[in-house]
Amino acid sequence: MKTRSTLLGYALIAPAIVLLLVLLFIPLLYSLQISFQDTDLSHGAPKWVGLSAYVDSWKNGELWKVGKHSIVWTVSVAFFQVLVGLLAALMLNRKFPLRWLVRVLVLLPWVLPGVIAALTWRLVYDSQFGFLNSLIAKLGFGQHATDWLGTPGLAMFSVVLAAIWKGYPFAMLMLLAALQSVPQDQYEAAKIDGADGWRQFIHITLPSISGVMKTVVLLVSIWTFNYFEMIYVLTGGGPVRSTHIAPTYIYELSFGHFDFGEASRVSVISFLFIFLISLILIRQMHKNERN
Amino acid sequence: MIIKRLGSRILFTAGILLLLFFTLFPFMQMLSTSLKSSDQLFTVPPVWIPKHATLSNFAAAMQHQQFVHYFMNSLLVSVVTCILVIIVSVLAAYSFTRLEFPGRKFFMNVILVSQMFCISAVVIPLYKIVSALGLLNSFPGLILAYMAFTVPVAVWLLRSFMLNIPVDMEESAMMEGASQLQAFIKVVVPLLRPGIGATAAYVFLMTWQEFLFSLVFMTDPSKRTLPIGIMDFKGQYETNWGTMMAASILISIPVFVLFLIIQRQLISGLTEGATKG
Repeated sequence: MKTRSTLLGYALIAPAIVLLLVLLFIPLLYSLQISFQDTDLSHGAPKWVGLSAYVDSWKNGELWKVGKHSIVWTVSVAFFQVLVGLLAALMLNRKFPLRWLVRVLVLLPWVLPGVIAALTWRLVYDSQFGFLNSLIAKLGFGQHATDWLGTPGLAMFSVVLAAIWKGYPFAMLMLLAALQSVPQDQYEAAKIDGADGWRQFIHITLPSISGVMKTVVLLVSIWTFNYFEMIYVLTGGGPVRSTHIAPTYIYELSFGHFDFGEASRVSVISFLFIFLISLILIRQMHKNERN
Repeated sequence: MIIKRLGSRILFTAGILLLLFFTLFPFMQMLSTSLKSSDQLFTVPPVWIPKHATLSNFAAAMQHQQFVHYFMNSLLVSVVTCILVIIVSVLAAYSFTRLEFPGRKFFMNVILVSQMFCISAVVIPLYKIVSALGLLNSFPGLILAYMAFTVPVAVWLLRSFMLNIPVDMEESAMMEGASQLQAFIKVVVPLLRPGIGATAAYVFLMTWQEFLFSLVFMTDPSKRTLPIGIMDFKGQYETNWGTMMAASILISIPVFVLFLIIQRQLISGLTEGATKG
């Protein structure tokens, strides 16, 4: 039973709603306004140029490049975080000696502050002192001085690997909780019917955890798209801008070149992008719930 | 049959070991580097297990004049953000789960949509607003920004915890003459305590490690928080990796302990929020 109380209802949500309005929604509109201005310092004083600002940014080509990097980064990091998380959850859902210890240890990356994770990987990737090159040598593939973060083709791979490492435990935790709530009698029934492990996974496990899985995909994608410090610390967007994603590019434009107009255009576009994707995913979730 | 079982056993163990190796590999370098004396730090190829382990890097990190200062700044910002977010969010969550009013669904969607905001989409306007208000390099400015990004998740978590508390108990308290406020304080809040704890810890973890806003808002070195402060060890020409890794370990331990305490609550809140929509 819910009490009907309009005044109290509004009064209690007011602080939260006002806060979000003032600190998120109004700034977003302000961002939109700035984005219609030409603020390139080499063009003199800022002036209003309207929608043609977007057309010019597009023609410049950098926008599409950063967009592509952002998509590659978000999709590959989110996909592998969920995949590794699912595999880990399936393994940790089985009983084995010292399971509690393994469960605690695999949480470490997610709990580690983001900037520290990034600094540690920077050291791991170091061409001279990093353990990665030394691991490759120990495994018998010869002594190389690979510059993981300084080689254009490799840098994106390296930052993606570090980001997968940082975030997969979250996916694992959520999926493990979901796995534990799958009714055991369903598996018993399936076993009597002679279904093998793979069949049980496809027909019982996967459908039961799909709700949580979708939420995880949504959250992880948004977080990854916005994940600033990993790339900022590891490569700063380099080498030759091969790892610039939206947040690092926005930071460089605004606080490096003071080109707030161009930075705002990138912000507005990334907001719309994230918003549309989330809307589609959420709609999908609600549709499934109704069925 | 036995061979098949043995095979899957070996595969399973190999899987666990691989997972552990992938997860712990960077930590090995972190720990090893933090224990190396300065003459061992820059050997090529790197030594995995330092010959003469030393705690001197930890001492150096603690003695770094700004370290304690940054620590206090971080603690202040995180604790205050936590308290304010919990107050604001408990009220909103109560309203959403226990009261009926026109536009309830709409405002719940406002909260939901707020979770999708990219931090980078509002960092520029917020920076301009905060600097126009003269709040750059001030803790209230940073705390407000942190609140905006943690309140949506906090409301969502607390709402799912509150949905698990049966309404009957409040109703019977109210039948016995308690007002709605009394029923809330005497019945809901005590039962909600674990949920509040988990939510507060989540907010704390998020603000404790926040990077972008702190980097942009706090230009005065004396106002920096830990995540930015730790970059001090990354000198202009060469990085003192030993001290930096030691400092990193010192910063991470409290967060890890906190997380271990609350993880069960947090996960149940997050997964239930996911299934109850």
